[in-house]
Amino acid sequence: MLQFFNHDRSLCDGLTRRDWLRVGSISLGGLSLPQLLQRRAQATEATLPVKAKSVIVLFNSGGVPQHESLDPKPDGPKETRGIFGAIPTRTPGTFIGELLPRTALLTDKMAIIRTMVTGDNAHSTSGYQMLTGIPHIPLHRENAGPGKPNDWPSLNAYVQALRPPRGGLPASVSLPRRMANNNGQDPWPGTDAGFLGRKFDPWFLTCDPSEANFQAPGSELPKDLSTTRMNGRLSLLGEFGRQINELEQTASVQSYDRYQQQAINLIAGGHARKAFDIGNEPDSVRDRYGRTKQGQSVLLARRLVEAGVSLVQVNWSSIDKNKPNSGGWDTHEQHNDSVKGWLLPVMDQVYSALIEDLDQRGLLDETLVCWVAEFGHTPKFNARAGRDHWGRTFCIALAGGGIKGGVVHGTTDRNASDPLGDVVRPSDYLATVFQCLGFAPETMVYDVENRPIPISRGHAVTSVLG
Amino acid sequence: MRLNLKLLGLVAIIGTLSQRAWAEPVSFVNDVQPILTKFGCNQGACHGAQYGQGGFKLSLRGFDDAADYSAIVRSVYGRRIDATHKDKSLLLTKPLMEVPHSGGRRLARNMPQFETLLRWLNEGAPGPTAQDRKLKSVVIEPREFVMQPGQKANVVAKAVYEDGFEEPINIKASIDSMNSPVAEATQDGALTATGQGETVLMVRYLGAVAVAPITVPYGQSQGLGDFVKKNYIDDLWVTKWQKTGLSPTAVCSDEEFLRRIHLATIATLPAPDDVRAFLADTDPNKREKAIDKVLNRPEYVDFWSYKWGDLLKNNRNSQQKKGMWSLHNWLRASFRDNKPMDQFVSEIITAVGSPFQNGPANFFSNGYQEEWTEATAQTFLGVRLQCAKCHHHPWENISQTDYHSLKAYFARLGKKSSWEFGVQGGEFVIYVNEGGEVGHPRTGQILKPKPLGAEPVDDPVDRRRALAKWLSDKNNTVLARNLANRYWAYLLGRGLVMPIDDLRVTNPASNPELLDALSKDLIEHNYDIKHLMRTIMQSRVFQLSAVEHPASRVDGDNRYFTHYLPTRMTAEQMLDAVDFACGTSEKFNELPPGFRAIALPDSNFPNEFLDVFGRPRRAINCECERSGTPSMSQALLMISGGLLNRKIADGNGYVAQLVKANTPIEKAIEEIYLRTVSRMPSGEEVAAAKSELSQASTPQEGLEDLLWTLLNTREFQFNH
Repeated sequence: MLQFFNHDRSLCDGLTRRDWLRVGSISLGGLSLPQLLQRRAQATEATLPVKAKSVIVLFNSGGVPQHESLDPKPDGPKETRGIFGAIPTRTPGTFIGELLPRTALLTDKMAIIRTMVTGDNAHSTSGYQMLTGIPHIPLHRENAGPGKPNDWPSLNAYVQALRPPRGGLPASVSLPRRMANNNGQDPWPGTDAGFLGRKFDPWFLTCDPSEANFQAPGSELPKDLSTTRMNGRLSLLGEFGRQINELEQTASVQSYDRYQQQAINLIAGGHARKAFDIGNEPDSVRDRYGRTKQGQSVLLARRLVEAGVSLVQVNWSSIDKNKPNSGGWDTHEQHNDSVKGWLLPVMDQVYSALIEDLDQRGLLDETLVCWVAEFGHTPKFNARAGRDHWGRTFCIALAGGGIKGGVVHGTTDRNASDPLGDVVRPSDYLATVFQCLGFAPETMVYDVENRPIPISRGHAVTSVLG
Repeated sequence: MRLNLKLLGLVAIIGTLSQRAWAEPVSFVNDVQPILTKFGCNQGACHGAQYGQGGFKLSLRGFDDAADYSAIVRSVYGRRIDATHKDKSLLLTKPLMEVPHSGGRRLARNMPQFETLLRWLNEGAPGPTAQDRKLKSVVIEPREFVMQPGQKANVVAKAVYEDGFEEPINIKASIDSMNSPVAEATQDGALTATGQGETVLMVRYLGAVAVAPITVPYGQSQGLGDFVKKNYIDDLWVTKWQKTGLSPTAVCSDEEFLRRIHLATIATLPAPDDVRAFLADTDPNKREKAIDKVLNRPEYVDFWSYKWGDLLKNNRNSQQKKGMWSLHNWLRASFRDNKPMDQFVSEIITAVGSPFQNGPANFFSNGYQEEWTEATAQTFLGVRLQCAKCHHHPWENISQTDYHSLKAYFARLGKKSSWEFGVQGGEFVIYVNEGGEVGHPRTGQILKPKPLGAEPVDDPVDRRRALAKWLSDKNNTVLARNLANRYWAYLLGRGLVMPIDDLRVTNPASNPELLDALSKDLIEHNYDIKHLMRTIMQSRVFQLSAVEHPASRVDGDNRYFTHYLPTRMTAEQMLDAVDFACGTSEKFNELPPGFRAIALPDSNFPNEFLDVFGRPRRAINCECERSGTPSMSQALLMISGGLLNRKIADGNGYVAQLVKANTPIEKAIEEIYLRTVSRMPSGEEVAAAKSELSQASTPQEGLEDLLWTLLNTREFQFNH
């Protein structure tokens, strides 16, 4: 066993302070290079008051049924209204679906938008529009992949470009899986940085925080490599890395050093790694979110936001792949059983847990929570008792930093099939998010060819802004 | 002092010129439009936007005089001009902020520009006429600025018209410094040296642009030390360093040199025995010999075929597998034969036939006329032309007409499907039609084929042949300049012009004389690219150490190459280097074992390592598609990744072999150093490593840990 310095050191804590200083010395002096910051600085200046320090996006890929969730139509025709009723909420005069009892108690903190429109009925292309604000060319293309001309950057990528990384963590994280069709085979367009270039890709984490011994993804050691040995290696790197050739401090060498340092921190127990120690949460909190992959992923998102991440997107993770519709929101069959059995109850629990938890920690005022999906569901049921795709109108909910609570924006017709005015496009929704983050829509970011790109072509929905 | 005298003289000239100009009636085209451009009225964020602002739309940067005249004088019932109270016209009161204006205050009543606009209104606001003077050129005086920090100077911009008329244009031209941390210019033409370094002053007027270099020396050069000039490249850098006040660092060691030429030309680490032999060689010309040797290695073909595969976007998504292999094999043949690069380019742009059978024809598999035009401009001319598709280039003298005239070379090219490989074979054929023209997108006028910045040339059979002939003309340096700049960047980590595919007047080289000399040399040697590479690598500048001279630290970007710029290995280089060091090999789908990453035909071979380290998708023409930026995922992959660990601990890997062969410990340490950082370990390093190894539970584990450590040093991961 390699133990280079002293043999009695504790294993889990890794290195002694002296050794850490050595490892650290690889990168000291590396953070002040003006060139490194120059490009960034062009974009990072927030031009508006920063209402939200961070954003959590809950993306329920598959589509949230507007009738059973936030836009119930109890007086609608029976072939469209469904079998579930509506319940009153904390906001007088506002009703939501009866399967969301805990959420109903929180509407004073929420702004519900009932007239979200993509005009697109395919998961990947409508999802592209919700992620980038730009309609896919062409619309309604299922299993579309990334590529020209549909390479507009996602919200995650813009945030990665606009906000500096903090606390040894990247500005933007996407978890616990990438959004893709066909069991992860075909990733959606618009989930990455597109033509902004790969360096603005969010950090994609594939993980399951509900696992017993969950650790920061990428920081787990290979099975045949013990912690002791890894610590030995890190000491060796601290010792040898310094002796070897004092290379000149170019921007590229410096950022290499910085990332190496961050990676070591993550592995050896720095601030960043602690964010992933979800086991440190009290059982009561973990139970409140629910011990599902979805619940614990959202809890992890809250921890990451606390640790300094600017945007965490939690993509819906199925409770049980063996359920109808693979346990997801794409309820082409047995719609009623699905929404009542495992979709809305889980969502109600997780969403209300997040809002309450943030509120109790005093973080809700500075954290914007977006509950979105790529579209809603058809007003009419199909032959398999399912509801199909519906991009003509659907609901999203915003809450927290920068958002006025107790607001409902827009109304739909009696079938919840079309908006009666007040249409909100994905570009408007994203402009609203940017405004909460302190960035006007015309803020420019620069693509790989240094061409200026405005972050949004929409208009913030002023009625929901606090 | 000389400068001051010159300026006094100029002031006198301006006096007379402006009196002449005053007598002239104000011209909409030559006076009003430039002022609107100078004040930003027609920029993209303001009235030049697609739908204008506040109902008032101008053409972007004023390229459409007739439409703009109509927008100002006629549209919305002429409300922008007050016929009775001219100075109350909205055209003036808006930018004066006498009435609310979202664009803010842009103008004041005491400005000469206000005077001009008002005079134009008083003269009856005449529109564009055929009598408007045609601009010949813009001249900046003085032609070059050498300044001390804090010093001020006055710029005089002049327009020369085709009829011989000259006038000062400071009040209506747009005057900018390209790099304000070096020097700042006001719109009136007052220049202040705000920092140190070099930049250019740019004057734009009526779609023409002129530049004048500005040098603010970093200080006194601290001499050349032991720098020895080896060829003309060194001569030209010495001149530059003396002018800018910089000093070169020392020459690099033999080990660094050998590693550097290997990585730069064949993306392959030198073998331990090659390092030993090179160190033992006492021939004073051994570096020259090593350069020749490495240029003749078979990996040269692998690496440069891969590099040009990137540039030509060789990928199966747009070309299918057959097309992808066909282009790949043609690239390999070209680099194996060291085909002259002008011929290489000509074969591509004149290619016809089936892309499945004729490799270069795949250039036309990607998209249609516009893609071909843009790819030709960016890849072969080093010009980013995309913006001119829809509007005049924001800075350069490149118009929509230029874009679409270049496009006209491809106007007669067609694609038709073929059944050569069966009905479902997917083959198609590139062929030349008898007719086909390109019209100007706005005027509809048919445009003759014309290369950028040159006289029209045509060919009766295939227009592209004229373009190829123009490109390879001995008197035309466009292609050679692009290649010289690219290869300089490939070998030294950054271009003389940066970004390397953005050659334009307003983005001059950090050493323009050198770029001229390199391109002349390349043409004189019949576009022999190996000759160019050899010449560059033989220069002392290429062989400088990567540790900078303290006095040159001010040049943080290493624009002046006073030392060698450390560059992270590319994704493919790194994967191969890791395999080389570990004695393993990566297996790619459908390819035999041992196939190296730098020899892959496209980037559609799923590989996490290559993706994480930023290989390009080959979807766009830009060099920038490849990312060399370090990231967190890369660091994690190298530090704790299972992939790397499996390679290090591979049962048949290099460490396992060393252990099996009972290699003495000192020899094993030396081998691992040579395999990773391509040098002998120092006595201190051997001693330290030995003491660590003595504590390891097994020799194998100890050596594995040493290998892991070296793979994670920047000395391994960078070419330096």
